[in-house]
Formats: sequence, C-alpha cells, structure tokens
Amino acid sequence: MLLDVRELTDGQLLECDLAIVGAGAAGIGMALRFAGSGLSVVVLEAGGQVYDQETQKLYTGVESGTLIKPDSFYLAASRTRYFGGSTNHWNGWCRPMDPEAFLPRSWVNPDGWPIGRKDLDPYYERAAGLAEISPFNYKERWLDQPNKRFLFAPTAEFQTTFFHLSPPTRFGPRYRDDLARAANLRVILDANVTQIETDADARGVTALEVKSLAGRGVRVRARAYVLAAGGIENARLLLASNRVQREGLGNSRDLVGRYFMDHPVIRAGFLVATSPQRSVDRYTAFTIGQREHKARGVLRPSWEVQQREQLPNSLVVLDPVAPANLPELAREVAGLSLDLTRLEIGEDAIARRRVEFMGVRVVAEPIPDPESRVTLTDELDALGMPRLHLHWSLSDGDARNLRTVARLLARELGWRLRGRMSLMVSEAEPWPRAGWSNHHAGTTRMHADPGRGVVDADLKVHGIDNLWVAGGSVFPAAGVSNPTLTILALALRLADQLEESLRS
Amino acid sequence: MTETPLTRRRFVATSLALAGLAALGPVGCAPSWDRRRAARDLAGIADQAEAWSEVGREYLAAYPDEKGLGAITVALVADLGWKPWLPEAEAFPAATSEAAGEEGAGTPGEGAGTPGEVAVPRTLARQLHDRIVDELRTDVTVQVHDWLLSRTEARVAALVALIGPESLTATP
Repeated sequence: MLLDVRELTDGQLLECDLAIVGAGAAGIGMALRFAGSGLSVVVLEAGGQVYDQETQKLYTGVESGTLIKPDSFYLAASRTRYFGGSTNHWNGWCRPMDPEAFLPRSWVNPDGWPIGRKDLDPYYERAAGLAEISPFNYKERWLDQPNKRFLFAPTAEFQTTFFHLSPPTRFGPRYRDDLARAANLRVILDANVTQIETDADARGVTALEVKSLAGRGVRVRARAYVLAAGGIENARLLLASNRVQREGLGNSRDLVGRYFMDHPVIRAGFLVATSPQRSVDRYTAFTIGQREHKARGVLRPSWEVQQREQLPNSLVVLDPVAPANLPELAREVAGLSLDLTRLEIGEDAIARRRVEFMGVRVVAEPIPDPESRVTLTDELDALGMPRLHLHWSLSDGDARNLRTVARLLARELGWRLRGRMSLMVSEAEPWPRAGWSNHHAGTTRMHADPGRGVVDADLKVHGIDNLWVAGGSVFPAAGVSNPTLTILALALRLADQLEESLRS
Repeated sequence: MTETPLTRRRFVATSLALAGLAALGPVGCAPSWDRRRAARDLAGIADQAEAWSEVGREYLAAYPDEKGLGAITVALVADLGWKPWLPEAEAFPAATSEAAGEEGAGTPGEGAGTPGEVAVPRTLARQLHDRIVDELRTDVTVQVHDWLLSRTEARVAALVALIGPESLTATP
C-alpha cells in the first residue's frame, strides 16, 4: 500500500512490527523482503514520488573540507530526497567489496570489519537481482583468458576486475507496484522522521515522530526500527534525537557522525595503449550473458601491491577520450614517440584502432578519519530539525595513495610495453582535478566493541534494544567499490535476521 | 642547415641519441635490425626529433647539472660499459665499422666510426632499451612534459636538445 501523510489523520498513531525509515535502496530492498511475510511493515519516505525542491532543501547545511568548499552544495546535491532515494541519480555501477576490505589493515582500518566477505556473499547474489544485474560470477570466465583481452596478465601488479552495470534501476518507480500490492506493507510518502522517541533510559525506542512539510504529524510505533535514511541522514536522526540522551541517541561514546567517508576521485592523466586490440575493449561497457546485461572492466592494484606499498584500495577507470580531443593528443604522442615510434599515430590510425587513447581516473578508498564528521548546527530547517555541518577531510595518506597508484600504473604500462601514460598528478599539487563520488559512508560505523562503533556486527545500535541501522553509514571502511550492492546485501542480511527475531 | 663539425664527442652523442630513440621502439624490432629498416625508422624518429628536443629542454631546465654534452653523454653510457673518454677503438667496440657491419647497423652513411657518419649498433639500442625497461620497473623515473619517463629516456631527449634536432636529419 502506498500512502501519503496527508491521507492520514493529524496525530494518528500507526502500529506495526517493523518501521523502516527511508525508501532508498536499503529501505526498499528490506521492504520487498518482507512483502507477503505476514509481518506488518511501515516504510517512511521523506519525499514524494518525484523530486520536489522544498523537500530537497531540507538537506542543505554547512560544509567544509579538503575538497568540499562552502559553495559545493555537497549536502544538497549529492543525494536525493524522494521515493527511491539516491537510486534516483545513481549510475548503476555494481561490484561487491573486495575480500581484503573487510580485513584489519594497519594503514587503513586496523580493526577491520566485524564480518567478512563470506558473510555477505549469499546476499550479494540476492542483491544482484534487485539491482537487475547478472548474478555475480565471482570467478569471471573472462579472467580465465589471461593476456587475451586485458591490459595486463593476472600476475601483474594491476589486475582487471569488473563492475556489472545496472540499467540503472530506479528503485522507486521500479518497485512501486510491488510495494503497493503487498497487503502487509505501508509505504508512506512525505513522511519526515524528526525524532526517535525512547524510554526514560534510552534503552529502547518507543515511537517515531513523523512530520510532513504541510504541517501534518503522525507517530509510528513498532517492535523494531531500522534507520535506512542514507549515509548522512542516519547520523543526523540519531544526533537530533536527543531529548533523553543529550548527546544524541546511541552516541554515549561520541562516535555518531564521525568517520564520514566518500570516494575521492582524480583525473590522473591519459594513457596510450600500444596493443589496443587486446586491451581496451573490456574497459568500456560491453554486453554479457543472454539478457543484454552490461559490464565494464577496471584496473586495481593487487592485494600484494596494496600491502607492499601500504596503500588503501583503489580503482583505475579508463574512459574513452572525447573525439574532439583526439587530434591534439595524437599530435602530442606522435611528437613524443616514446615506445610508440613505429605505430602510425593520427586520426586514420585511431580510426583503425592502431592506437587507443584513454582518460585515466583513479578512485580511492578513503582512510577513515574521526575528524571527518557530521555535527548538528544551531540552525533549524523547515521541520524544526537542526541542519548539519559536514566536514570531510582527506589526509596526506589519501593524496599519496592516488598519486602512487597513478605512478605505479604509468610505470607498469611502460615496462610491460603496454603503453605510456601522461600524468596530471604531482606532489606539488596534491589534489589535482579531484572530485567525489557521492558515496556517503561511515557515520554510524560497525564495530563489535561499543567503544569503537555505533552498531554491532548485526547492525543493531549498541545499547538500544530495538534499533538497527542499514546503509553505507555502517561501513567501518569504505572499500573502493561503489556502495549500493553492499548496502543492499547488508540490508537483506538484516532483513533475514529481523524476520527471524520478529517471528520469535 | 648549418653544418656542424662532427667531433668525437658529438659523434658519440648523436649515436647515443639515435640509438636511444631507436631503443624506445618495441623490443621486437632490435633483433631484425637492418639497414633499410633502420633508415626508415630513423627517418620517422627524425620527424619527431623536434618534439623530443622540447622534452629534453624541459628535462635540462629541471636538472641543470646535466646541461652539457659531456655530462649527459657520460651519464648515459656510464652503466653500459662504454668509455667515451678513451681512444676511439677502445671506447666504442661495438661501433667500429666491422662491428657495425656485423650488427647490420649504420645509417645514414656507409659505416661507423668515421666523422660524418652515424652508427646505431644493435647492441647499444638493445642495452638502452633494457635499461629503460628496468628503470621503469624500479622507479628510476622523472616526470617531464607530464610524461612519466625513465631517466635514460629523458636523458636521450636531453641529448637531442643539446646536439640539436637538426643533427638527426643532417645528411653528411
């Protein structure tokens, strides 16, 4: 059932088994899991079915950091506050986290995740269905053809790995009818949660306070509550729910909001591949399987390289160079000759694919930093909720990672005679042509120890009996894969656990 | 074009520059080196000498200590077992007419080791090529003109700048 708060009576109390705050990938993924389960579920979506400027404005706040400037509009522009959440603007790149992302790594996240990749593998399979990608074949058959179509052999320092590309699935429109048909589900739009109410000692959630921009308010009471409002908003809700626990719900250790992460990305330069017939095809989108599903190859430094160089993970994305730029690049490369001396360089050669130019982007796993954080400001939004201050700092280690990976790739291309690379990175300019990925993570990090994390390995908020968190905010380390598939996998795992718990 | 007297030092430098540029080509070219092919390749290289010269000038600006034909030549050959400061016969064993003939090298001109002629011995090109690959692998690199180059590559470019790109196209 799909409802709008305006269809409810002001002050009405809704009761259910499970209340899910947010109808993005995690919220909708969980709700679909409960469809037809017999358990009553309420999903509270802050926005409507389409983008609305007034609703989106509720996201604005103060922002600062290494890359983010006061006029970056990061808080408002990097997420979407309506049915489907950030799947309304994602590009559909899906890839499980690499196994080592879960491991303790002294140079990134000394404690690791409290769960491992194997815990998520069954859920990745199911998540792939929701994202409408091919079931992930973890041993891609293409990788069994070493040195055939890839830039490097599997033993090289850079390995080819794949993203599967979702259409991209817009979860709101795509699953609206499925949700509406399920008699045990109520998806309520324009329903902004403004307060998580608790008992006197903040050990249990008693209800959710919900408001619409039109002024109508309802309350939702459930046996279990899940925050699935996004990597930033989950923390905001906990911090703002401070009527009993003054520092914010679940925040007795001052961890809520800290360790904010996104994936920094730089334009690292461009490469000239000397053997294009066996190299670049797989690094642009190509079709796999019988359902016309798409995939795309990327490069990443091997785990051995990451350990040797003490580097966080990273990915190298190769982009076709815009045709308008080709003649200029061709002239430059022709002039330089390098190891391309005997290749014909020029527009004819490019057309015949004797040589291929590719733009090089490096995307990096950020090093978790407690000083990267969201905090409440004194300014209130139209619903009376404190606006946020987001500060995202990147360290010298983050800059070194990006620079080192670009240089390692340039060297590897050269000495393996695969091509050459023009670099746009240097120590003098630590963040050249840098940007971000809109992958919010880390603000309610997962850790078995309540002193070091906000939620436990089962995503339950430490110290609160009936409150869980889903979404990228629980990542203790962000890995380097785009997060949606992992967010879905974690949400489905949580749904399984909650169903068992609610039935018992 | 003004003719410049080809001193021994200049001859060595030009040989190195040509061999170095040749070494930048695919490794597979060296074993099948022959006069005709070399002439064709060198003509291609010469077309690009001006661009290399630009890279070389940038390198020399960054490393002024090497801004001299002697310094850069010694730097290039030091690890290759060549001794340009010795008498010619001892200094460049692979660049004698006989050796050049065996190697199938030498263009333009009839032989090597005679003023006015330029030799590109296969061994030198191969040695330089191997060194370039090794430097890229072990990070003996410099960033010039945005390109990540092996130090030897950059020095070859510097040589081209120092001897003048026109030297690579000059007909004896």
